Amino acid sequence: MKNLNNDYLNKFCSHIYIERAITAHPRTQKILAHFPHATVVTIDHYKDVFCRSRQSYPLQHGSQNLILAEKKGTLLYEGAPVCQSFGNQYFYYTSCMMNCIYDCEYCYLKGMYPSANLVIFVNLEDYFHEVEQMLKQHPLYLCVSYDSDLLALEQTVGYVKEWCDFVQTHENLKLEIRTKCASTGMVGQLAQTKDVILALTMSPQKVITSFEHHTPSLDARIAFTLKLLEAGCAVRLCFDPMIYLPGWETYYGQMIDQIFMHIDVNKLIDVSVGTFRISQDYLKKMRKQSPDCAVAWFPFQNENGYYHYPESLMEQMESFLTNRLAEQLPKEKIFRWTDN
Amino acid sequence: MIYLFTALYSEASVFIKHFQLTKNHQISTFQEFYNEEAGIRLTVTGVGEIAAASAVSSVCSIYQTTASDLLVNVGTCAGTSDGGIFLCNKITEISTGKTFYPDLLFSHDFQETELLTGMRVLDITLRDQLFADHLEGICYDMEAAAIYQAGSYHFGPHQMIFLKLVSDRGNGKEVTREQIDQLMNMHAKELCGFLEQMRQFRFSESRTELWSVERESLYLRLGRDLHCSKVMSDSLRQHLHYCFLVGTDVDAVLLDMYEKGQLPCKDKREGKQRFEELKQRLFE
Ligand code: SF4
Repeated sequence: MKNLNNDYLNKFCSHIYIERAITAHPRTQKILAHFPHATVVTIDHYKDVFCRSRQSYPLQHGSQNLILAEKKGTLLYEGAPVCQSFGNQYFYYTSCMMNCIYDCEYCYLKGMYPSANLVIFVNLEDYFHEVEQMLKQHPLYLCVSYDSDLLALEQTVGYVKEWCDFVQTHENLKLEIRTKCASTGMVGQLAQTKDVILALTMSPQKVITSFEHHTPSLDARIAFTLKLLEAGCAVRLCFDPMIYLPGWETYYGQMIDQIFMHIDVNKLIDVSVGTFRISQDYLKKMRKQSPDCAVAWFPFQNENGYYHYPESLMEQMESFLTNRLAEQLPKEKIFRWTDN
Repeated sequence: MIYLFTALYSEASVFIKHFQLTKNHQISTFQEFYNEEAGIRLTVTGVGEIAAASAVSSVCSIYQTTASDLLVNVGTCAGTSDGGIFLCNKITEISTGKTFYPDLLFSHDFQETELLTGMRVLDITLRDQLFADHLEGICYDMEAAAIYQAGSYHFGPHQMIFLKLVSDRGNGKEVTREQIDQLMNMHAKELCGFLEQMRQFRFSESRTELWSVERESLYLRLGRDLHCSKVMSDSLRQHLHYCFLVGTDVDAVLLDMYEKGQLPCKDKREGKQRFEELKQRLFE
């Protein structure tokens, strides 16, 4: 956000809200230890803070606080229609964390959540239990990093490691960990198995600089991909969402050149391509909260409650990138998003 | 604008003096002081939840508060800790058991506390009962929860700040006006300094720069020249809005179209066609 004097705002996680019932939980204590100077506020239920009315997402993001809670009720959800299933029949996602430390202008979380504060659910065992129940019925392809970027908070929370350990002892379970993080120091901690797919979002540097605030650069993401591949991890590159901006063809073309130059793309398990799309309700909220956000104010086309770029532009952008990728990748490895 | 609320005049006087606030004689229900230039409007609500909620509701309705405004409640209270200024991070209304959480976005040098709001002046018996579980520190006042609730109709949690100064340990009836004056004066510099800092803060970027009078009239003229229907007109506005945000040279595209005689259009049919061309050119 422009013109906000950040000197007036509290630092990241200056306050931590903790549900009374999980104050003594070992994960609560472990996370708290990372923030020795934070002020702790005890609450009854995370929604008492997270779901207050009239919150300002952009302002809160400038001074994000943490809420530690216990998630009750449903823990696994069927994949949403706007998400890519990669041909998996039993495609589910789960949210053991809500919100993200990064600040992508186009992020649907801005339209989905009433608050920008981070929520971490400490009862990971309950998630594991629900996964085990589901595995008794059928195999599972589970995305664990949709409503957050788990890897970006790994040093503090350690959930990626816990999920990786869980996968190693469970058959028929495949995880996708979506991230923009590029911390090469973490590579050793990640599972080197085909059942944990590290899905790195790739964007042209111009898009990163303009819209993906506080995220690693394209160079850093490429370097991270290389390290992961070297370590034997299963890596997917996600060119999704592609964001329109004047000169997009040049920027996306340069990005592909750069990737081809450094990465042997045939070592990737696959890639995904898709232009930006979002539910109309989320976009409405995003526009209200961020009147100056160009990505959100694009004159989209509305189709059955979802906004996307005009058909011709969408086709142009996705075909361009798919064709460029097809120069070095077999077609079966390129997943282009479709809504049917 | 900062809307400042205190229960007592003796809690208000330091601000009246520091910010050179003038009494508003047109308001008779509550004592009101203001300085438009300083961006501060102070209301003395009177003691208790009902008085406080009425004042907040009345002020917010009269002045049509906006997303760039701030509500600040400053006052004395009873507390388990010794003096100093406390910023409230949690406010519980004793009568309903409801708890409210103002956002804690702004950096400050105050201590923080949980606050209980009750209907009656705290006495020793009530104090022992309420404070028993809060040895590490808690405050008690008679307005904050009501101010938060009334304020919530007009402000978000990031726009409300509650500052309390401990005047007693539950023997509030014995606290004199002079003692409150003295306490407020002792902390006047920190309190006014904090408000000064808040005055500098910009809550949101104004959109007026994007839609200047010239751009508004360009949009109207273009709508006429394209024979826009309501739907087309909304779409045109949206396209222009996006182009203004990303800095597309709309004027150059339009100039070219006018020079080539493609604009103005003679009827709706031509207008529809030209609008498609215009959109394409803007996104080339
Ligand atoms: S990294 Fe992903 S989850 Fe995080 S802000 Fe960006 S889009 Fe949202």
